[in-house]
Amino acid sequence: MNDVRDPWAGLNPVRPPAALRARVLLAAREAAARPLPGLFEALYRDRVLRACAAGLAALAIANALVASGATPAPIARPTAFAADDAHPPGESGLTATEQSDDLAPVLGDAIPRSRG
Amino acid sequence: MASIGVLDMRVLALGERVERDLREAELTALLDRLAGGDPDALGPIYDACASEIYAIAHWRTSSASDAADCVQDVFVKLASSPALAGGIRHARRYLLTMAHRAAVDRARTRRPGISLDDVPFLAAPSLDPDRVLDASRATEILHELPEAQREAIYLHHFAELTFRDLARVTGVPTFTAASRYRLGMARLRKRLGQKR
Repeated sequence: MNDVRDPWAGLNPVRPPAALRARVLLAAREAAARPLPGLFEALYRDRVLRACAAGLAALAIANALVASGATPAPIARPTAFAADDAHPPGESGLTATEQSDDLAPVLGDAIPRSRG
Repeated sequence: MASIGVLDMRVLALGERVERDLREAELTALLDRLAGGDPDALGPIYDACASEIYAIAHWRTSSASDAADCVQDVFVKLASSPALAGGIRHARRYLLTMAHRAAVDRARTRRPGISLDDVPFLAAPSLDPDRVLDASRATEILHELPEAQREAIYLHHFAELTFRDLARVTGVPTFTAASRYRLGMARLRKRLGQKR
């Protein structure tokens, strides 16, 4: 406490009592010798494990129910926009650059060509 | 002369680092031995790191009896699932993390209103009466700090963890870990009436 920069000078954390070593090692050896609990015993003892198992079972049941049900019909994708009786052509799958030659007679030079 | 002093300090720091790396390698080998099914490795593991496990739990829980229970919890966990101890890269940090979690659990489950024991956090190795007084005063002041700040001071100053490792052990961002240490030291200095 006398040194401002190191208030802990000359002080060390207290060490564990000497008798603790024998107690800890005995408990550890007993734990090592104890057989691992079976699944049902572990479920009986551990509340968190029970909750996890219940959640897992619920998910498995839900998955089974969904899988056994009728396959939903795929939703048809609209191919063209049909408002006000206007029927524009469907998607050609071409990029703007690829379509520029076809659109040139209609649009003239309104669409600048890219140089890339 | 000044350059020789700096050189000496660098050699000392290098020596400390080499010694720390050797201790880490030794601890890793012991944990591997335990994972390989040798329970006799528990004794040397205890000798290597029980002091630090006890201290981190003591500083976190403010109770020597809880700290002793935490040491037991850590070793019982190690012994009951030794396979988890195999192939660990940072053995000391791993054990300190176990100790931190055991201490947090122990503090959380402790019934409120139970009086904590008066075992000091720090001890002076010499019998100088001034130093003993300092130790008791330091303990008194440390008791006033929040447990997370107290733990950060122990881990950074006494266990010599970097802020990054301190953050990993306590499970918080590095900035938070560093802030806890600095706030704790600032409060300590303020309490001692010292200006930085």
